[in-house]
Amino acid sequence: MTRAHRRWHWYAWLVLAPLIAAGMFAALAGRGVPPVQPAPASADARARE
Amino acid sequence: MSAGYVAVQWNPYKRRYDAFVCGAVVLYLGMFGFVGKLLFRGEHALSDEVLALRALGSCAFLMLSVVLCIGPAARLDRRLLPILYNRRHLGVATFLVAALHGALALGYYHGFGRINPLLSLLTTNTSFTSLRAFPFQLPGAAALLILFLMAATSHDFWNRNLSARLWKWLHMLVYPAYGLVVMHVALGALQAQRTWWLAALVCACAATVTTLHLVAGSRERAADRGRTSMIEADATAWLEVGRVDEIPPDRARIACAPGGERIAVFRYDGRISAISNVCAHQGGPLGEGKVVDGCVTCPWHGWQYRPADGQAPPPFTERVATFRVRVDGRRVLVDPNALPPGTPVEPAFVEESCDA
Ligand code: HEM
Ligand code: FES
Repeated sequence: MTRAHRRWHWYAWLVLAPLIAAGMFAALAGRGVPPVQPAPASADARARE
Repeated sequence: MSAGYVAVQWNPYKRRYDAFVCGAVVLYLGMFGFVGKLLFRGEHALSDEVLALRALGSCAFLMLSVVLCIGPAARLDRRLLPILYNRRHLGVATFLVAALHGALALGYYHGFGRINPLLSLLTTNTSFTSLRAFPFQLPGAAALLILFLMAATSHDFWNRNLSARLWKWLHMLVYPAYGLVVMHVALGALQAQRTWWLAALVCACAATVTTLHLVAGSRERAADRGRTSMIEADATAWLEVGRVDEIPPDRARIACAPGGERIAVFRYDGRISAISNVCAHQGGPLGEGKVVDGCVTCPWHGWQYRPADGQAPPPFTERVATFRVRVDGRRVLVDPNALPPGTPVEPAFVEESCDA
């Protein structure tokens, strides 16, 4: 590869690496608490019987 | 190398490579379906379409991660070079698997309404400010578009006709494409599915790809900054390459010219010749290749050049730059000013018996 290409690769990953890391962190942190699964309607009906 | 074009220059190695890739993809999809049916049962059962969508999506993501790891991994360990040789087919296969995933998603989630599925994909969800309801399909679609452009132009015909520069630029878009795919998964699957192993797998893939590139890249930078010693003689500043015995027979030592370009200095048949380290095909490091049948052979895809004039043997027409060389005692010196590609240069002759 030419020197220009080597540089390009280097700077591309220097930018991409923190972006990917921050993106993953934000996405995982932003998930919050899992929503409570609503009970199936049939279970409701059975409970009322 | 190209004297004319054929769709694929098949050889037994490429056939085995492709058979392995096809087999691995089919095995993965089959296993995913089987395990998916076993794990998600009863009220958690997944429809066949969703299972296929997930199998194809995760397969494409894993394949893209592998494709991206091959380059830096082969720079760090030469034994991996054979995987790089046919990487292009792996890239095209990745696009095909990703395209199936995209088409299935489009048909399943956007195909049953009154508006055109593509229009529906682009306009239905506009929650761009929400992390959890983000239209994660859009980064996926953008990545798929890039993968399509790369697969469509992957043939050497396009490498030549788009110019090596534009082609390389186009194919470097695979990096942003990977970023987009990570976004697609982080904002889509990781928001909807809480399983820790999916998050761990995505993080592990992204971390491996990134770390390998950073490590290989920083090594290259260190080599670029390597100190060079220059010797002034006959009005030329000669670059000192090392001693003759430091170049193994039929191999090269790579010298770094003051501007940062690299020169491959080969020793073969009792001679020393220097050519550019940059292969005319896709910039492979010629100095890491061997002299085979009297020709320098690129370690990436096997293009060949005669060491004394940088020209590919007939009927091929590719050329690389050459450099003047001389041997002073046992020291090898090279003039770092490149001569036009294909310029014949008298090799420096060395006594082969000295380095036993
Ligand atoms: C037009 C383009 C695309 C569309 C519309 C699309 C759509 C989707 C949808 C709807 C899902 C969620 C599936 C579900 O769990 O129900 C998904 C998941 C996923 N997609 Fe895509 N996608 C596209 C392109 C891509 C590309 C190019 C890749 C990778 C190279 C990719 C990788 C994935 C992965 C890894 C998942 C997660 C699979 C899992 O849950 O195990 N997608 N995609
Ligand atoms: S043969 Fe492809 S880069 Fe040299």
